Amino acid sequence: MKWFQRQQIDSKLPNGVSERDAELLSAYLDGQLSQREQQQLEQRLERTPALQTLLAELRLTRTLLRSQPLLRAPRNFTLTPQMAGVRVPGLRQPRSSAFSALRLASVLATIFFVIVLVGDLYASRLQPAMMPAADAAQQAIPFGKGGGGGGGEPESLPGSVEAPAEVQPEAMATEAPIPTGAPVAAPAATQAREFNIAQATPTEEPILGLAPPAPAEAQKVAPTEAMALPPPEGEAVQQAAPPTVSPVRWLLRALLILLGLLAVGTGAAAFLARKRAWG
Amino acid sequence: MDETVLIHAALQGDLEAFNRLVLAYQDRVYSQAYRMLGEAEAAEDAAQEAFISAFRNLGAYRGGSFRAWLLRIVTNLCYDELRRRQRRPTAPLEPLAQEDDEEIESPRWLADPGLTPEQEVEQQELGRALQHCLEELPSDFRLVVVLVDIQGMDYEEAATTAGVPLGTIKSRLARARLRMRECLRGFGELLGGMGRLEGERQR
Repeated sequence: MKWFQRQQIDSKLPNGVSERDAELLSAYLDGQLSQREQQQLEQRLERTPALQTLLAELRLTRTLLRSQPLLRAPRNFTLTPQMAGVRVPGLRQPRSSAFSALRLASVLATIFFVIVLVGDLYASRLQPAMMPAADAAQQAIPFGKGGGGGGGEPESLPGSVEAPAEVQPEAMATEAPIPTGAPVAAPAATQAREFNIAQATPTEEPILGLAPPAPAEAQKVAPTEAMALPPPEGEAVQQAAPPTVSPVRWLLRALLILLGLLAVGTGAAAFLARKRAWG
Repeated sequence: MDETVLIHAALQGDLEAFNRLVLAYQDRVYSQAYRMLGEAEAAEDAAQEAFISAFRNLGAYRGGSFRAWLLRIVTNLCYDELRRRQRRPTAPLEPLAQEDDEEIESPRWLADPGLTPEQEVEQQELGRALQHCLEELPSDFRLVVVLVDIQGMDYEEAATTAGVPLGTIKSRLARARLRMRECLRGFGELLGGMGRLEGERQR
C-alpha cells in the first residue's frame, strides 16, 4: 500500500525562497504576523511566483491537517478510587477488609510463632541447665566419697561420674522423640551439646575437690554434707523434672505447630483474597 | 459546571468532579497521545496515566489553560514512551498491512457521518497518510504541528504546552509543515482530491 512506502522527507524549498520566508508564510497562514510584516510579505508575494506556490502548498498542508477531527477516546479514562489512591468507604471494602484481616492474622500468628519458638528454645536451654544441677547434686555423693577417699582411689572417680552421664543421654534420647516435627531436632542437639558441657564440668570439680590440703577435714565434712543435702535435692529434682517439664514443652510444641499452620493458612487465604479482589 | 469550580473541587479530593474533567478532555488527551505515538494501545496507556498523574499532581496546576497543562502531562509521558522505544526498538513505527492493524489504524470513529462511502474511504486514506507523515517527523516538530494544527492551539498555548519559547514554536511549525508538504506529495491522488476541495473552498 502506498502509504507504507517511506517517503523521502526534506523541506525542499523552491528557488529563491529561504527558510525564513517559509516561516513567514507559515505564520502568515495563522495570522501571526505583525501588520508591517504582513504588508511586506504580501508585496513580495505579488512579484514572486515561487513564494505563491509555496504558500499554496503550505495552505493545503495546513488545511489537510486541520481537516482531521479529534479522535474519540476508545474508552472512558475516568479514575477509580483505586487509581486515584483515594479510599472511599463502601467501595470494594468487604474484599479489602477480608484481605487486611487475614493479613493481620497471618502476621500475628507469625509473631506468636516466633515468640513461642524463642520461648521453647529458651526452655530447652534452661532444662539442661537444671539437669546438670541435679547431676551435680547426684554426683556430689560420689565426689564427696571420692574426696573422702582422697587420692587413694582415683579409678572410682571416672566410674561414678560416668554412671549418671550414661543415664542422662538416654533420658534425653527418650525425651527428644516425643515432640514431633523438625524444629525439635535443634533443641535436642543443643541439649546433647549442653549435656556434654555439663558432663565436662563435674570432671573438673574433683580436681578442685582434691585440692584442699586437709583431706581429713574434707573427709569429715564432705560425707556429712553429701549425705545430708544432695541426695534429697537430687531426688527431688529428678523426680520433679520429668513430669513438670515435658507437658509444658509438649504444649509449647503443639502450640508452635498450631501457630505455624495458622500463619501459613491465613497468609495463603490473604493472598487468595487479594488475588480475587484484583482479578 | 464551570471548569474552575471542578478543578477546585478535585483539589479538595472530589474524584467525581475530576472525572467530569476527564470526560471533557479525554478525546483531546487521547488524540494527542495517539498522534504522538501512532499506536492505539500505547496512546490509551499514556492517556490513562496522564489523568492519574494529573489528579495526583493537581496541586501543581497554577491556573491558566487547563488544556495546556493536561496536554503537557500527556506529552511528557509520550516523550518517555518514545525514549523507551528508542532504547528498545521492538515494533516498527509504521502500521503493518494486517487486518487487525487496519482496524486500529483506521478506526470507525474517524469517519465523518455526513460522507458518502467514497468520501469516507478517501477520508480514511487521508487520515492514514497524515498519520504516516506525522510519524516521519522528528518528535519535536510533530508535537508542535499536532498542538497547533490538530489541537487548534494558538502559538502561545502551544509554547506553554511544549515548554519552549514562542519563536521556537514558529520555526518548528514552519519546518514541520514544510516536511509534511513533502511527505504528502507522495500521496498525489489523495492530495489531488483534497486540492480540488481546497480550490473550491478558495473560490
